[in-house]
Amino acid sequence: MFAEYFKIAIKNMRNRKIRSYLTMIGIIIGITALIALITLGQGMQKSVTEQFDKFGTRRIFIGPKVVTGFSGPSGVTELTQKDVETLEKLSYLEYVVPLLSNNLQVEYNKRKEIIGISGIGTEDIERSFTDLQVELLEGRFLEERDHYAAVVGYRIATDLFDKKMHAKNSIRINDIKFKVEGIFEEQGDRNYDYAVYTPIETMRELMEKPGAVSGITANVKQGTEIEVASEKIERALKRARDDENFQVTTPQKIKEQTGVILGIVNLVVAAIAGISLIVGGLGIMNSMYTSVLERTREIGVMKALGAKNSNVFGFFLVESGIMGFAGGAIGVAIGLVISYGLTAAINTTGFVTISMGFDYRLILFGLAFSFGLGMLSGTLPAMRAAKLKPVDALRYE
Amino acid sequence: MIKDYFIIAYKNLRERKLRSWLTILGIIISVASIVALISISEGLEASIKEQFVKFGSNRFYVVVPGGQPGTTSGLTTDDVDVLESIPDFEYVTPYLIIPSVEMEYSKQKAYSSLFAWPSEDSDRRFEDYDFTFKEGSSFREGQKYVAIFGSLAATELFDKDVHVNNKISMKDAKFEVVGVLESFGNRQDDAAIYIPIETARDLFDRPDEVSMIDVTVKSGREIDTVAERARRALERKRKDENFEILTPTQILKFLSQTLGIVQAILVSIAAISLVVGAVGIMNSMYTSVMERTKDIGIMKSIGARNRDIMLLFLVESGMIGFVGGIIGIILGYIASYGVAVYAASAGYSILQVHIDFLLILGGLLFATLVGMLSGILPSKRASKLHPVDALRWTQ
Repeated sequence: MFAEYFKIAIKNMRNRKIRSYLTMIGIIIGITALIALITLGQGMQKSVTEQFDKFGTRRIFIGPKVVTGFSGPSGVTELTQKDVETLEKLSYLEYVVPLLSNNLQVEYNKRKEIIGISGIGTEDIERSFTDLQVELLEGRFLEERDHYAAVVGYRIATDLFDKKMHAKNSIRINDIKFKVEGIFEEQGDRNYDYAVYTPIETMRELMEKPGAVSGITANVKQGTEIEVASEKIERALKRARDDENFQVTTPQKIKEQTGVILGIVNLVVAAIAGISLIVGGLGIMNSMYTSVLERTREIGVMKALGAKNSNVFGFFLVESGIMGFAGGAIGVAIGLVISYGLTAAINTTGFVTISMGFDYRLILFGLAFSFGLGMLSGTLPAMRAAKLKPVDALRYE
Repeated sequence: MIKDYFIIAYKNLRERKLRSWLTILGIIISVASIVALISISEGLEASIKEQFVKFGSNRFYVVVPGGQPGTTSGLTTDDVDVLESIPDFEYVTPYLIIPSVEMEYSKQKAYSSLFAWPSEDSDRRFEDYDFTFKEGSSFREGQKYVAIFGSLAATELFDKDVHVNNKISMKDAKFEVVGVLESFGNRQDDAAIYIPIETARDLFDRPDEVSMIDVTVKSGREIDTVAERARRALERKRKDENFEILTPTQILKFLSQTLGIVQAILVSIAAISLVVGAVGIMNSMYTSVMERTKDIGIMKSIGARNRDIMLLFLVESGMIGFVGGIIGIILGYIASYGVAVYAASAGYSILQVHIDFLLILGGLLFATLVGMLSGILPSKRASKLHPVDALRWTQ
């Protein structure tokens, strides 16, 4: 019975090829745009959240408080070496690494650039980086005895200055000679590839801010829940500082927040792209109304031969559903191809990396959605067809 | 003659009302979404520009690039002195921004950042910034523990509204509120709290730090030349290039570029629906041609030329685009007004929608053109029909 509907629908569509194809093109374009944009958005979301996963499940960040809504550009260090000492006393922390960042002028090969430089505690620097799988390409990590020494990110060493930088080269930071002790491997992540690290004491000296700290990373010992540890840290700091001018975050928290923001962006883009599907649905409706009109006589004959209203309704609905589905299938395929192409193109620019996911749920959704859209758009025309009176329909010219 | 085409096209469209309206509806939806997106983002750009004009095209800022959280700015009072020694400036306003200060009011604690600036000439500075006071007035010279609250800071920071003469405590010092500002129409500025810079230096132990310097140029001086002069003076004194001078033109250019890119992306995504709508017109026109094969045959046999037939159908499809365009533009503007009203209720009253005649005209022309373009293939088919075949044609 159902197979019969199918055959009739296909035959009818073939009879008016141009119209069927044009109607499908509308759906194809809409689904293509939707699938391509969603896939790209998901890829971006995935690569962003993957970066946070790299921090592992044991890392905690402590920084100055950022007040949302009531906050101007922050520009002052609010943490101090005392906070680092507070944290170092906590038994559930494996190590604590203080950071002090600032933008300073770096000169190499007679070129000056302003680069964000991080002073970093040297004590556990090696562990801290290797825990994140950030390894050195050349040279060594900073050591406690280092003074005017720096470890440099891959892109800064290779691209930024016209001449390639190597370990043992010297650079000038704020007109002071620094020795490059090490160069990081390429990470594909701006945060590391464009980083320059020096010992935190050196940085404090450059900025004339003894004891200043702009951020602290801490690693939680195995066996302690990270959320528990972050709450404990909060309490300990509150007690020691007697204020709440700090913020404790975990990569998971940041990941959730950025995920929500990216999700909203994706939703807006998908909604705008979805407008074209509404227009495509109108196209199906239009085409189906025309079909019903053209086949009025045919409907009369079928009804006279005993077809029930529901039969007539059924086969028009199947026809519009097929149109939607076929358009959707082609659209999904083209959309995936386009998003693969765009991802590859964007990744070669090196600006951002987008990971490419193959999400079968999205494909199923695309197919189901376009089938549903086709049927939905076909409902009104099919109802009109079903309600035709056999005698009127036969008399129709 | 041309009038006849329109009459015939109109009649034909009316004859198949349902189909015509569905086709037009497709165009309406896509034109409306494009118009809404463009007018919203243009409204945003216009109001940003307006705020800049208000802020004055006679000032520029000295900042340190990057501005990542947790970095110090690296500007000091020495830099302010350098700028003050240049005669081209009306006055130089150093800012000290202190992020997240704990403050207490009516037994409630809250955090906010503080903007500290000189109490000297405070009147004039506030006036130049187009600050208007809802209550109270600006700092008097020599006043120490006084604060001025932005409109949002006064109403939203604490449960109880802050008014003039109320006392706020920060860092064990009691500040008297001497002024509350009118709203600027954007949350960032309305959330600010101002205190005298001398007080902030003492209280927060920042003897010579400066977060940002705002320089007001004397009238009649060319801002870009003066900015360049300031740059050289600072470079000479600081012996580095570790600072940046932002003129309003630069900031505006950057902002409108960013906004332009976002607008271009969103509009081109929305334009996809117009392509789908155009395919709908094409479809509807092919059907029309088919249904009217006999009419075409008759017209041809009584002397209509190919181009007459072609024009007839082109006018019809153009009409679909035109009508869809008109209604779409109206709906698009209604939608963008809705967004503006919503944004205003969320505290962003700076978003204003202007009726842009260029956009309306462009939208109409474009919609008509899209209609005609989608009609070309069907019209060609109609015009090429052989009269005899056409007359003989049955459905």
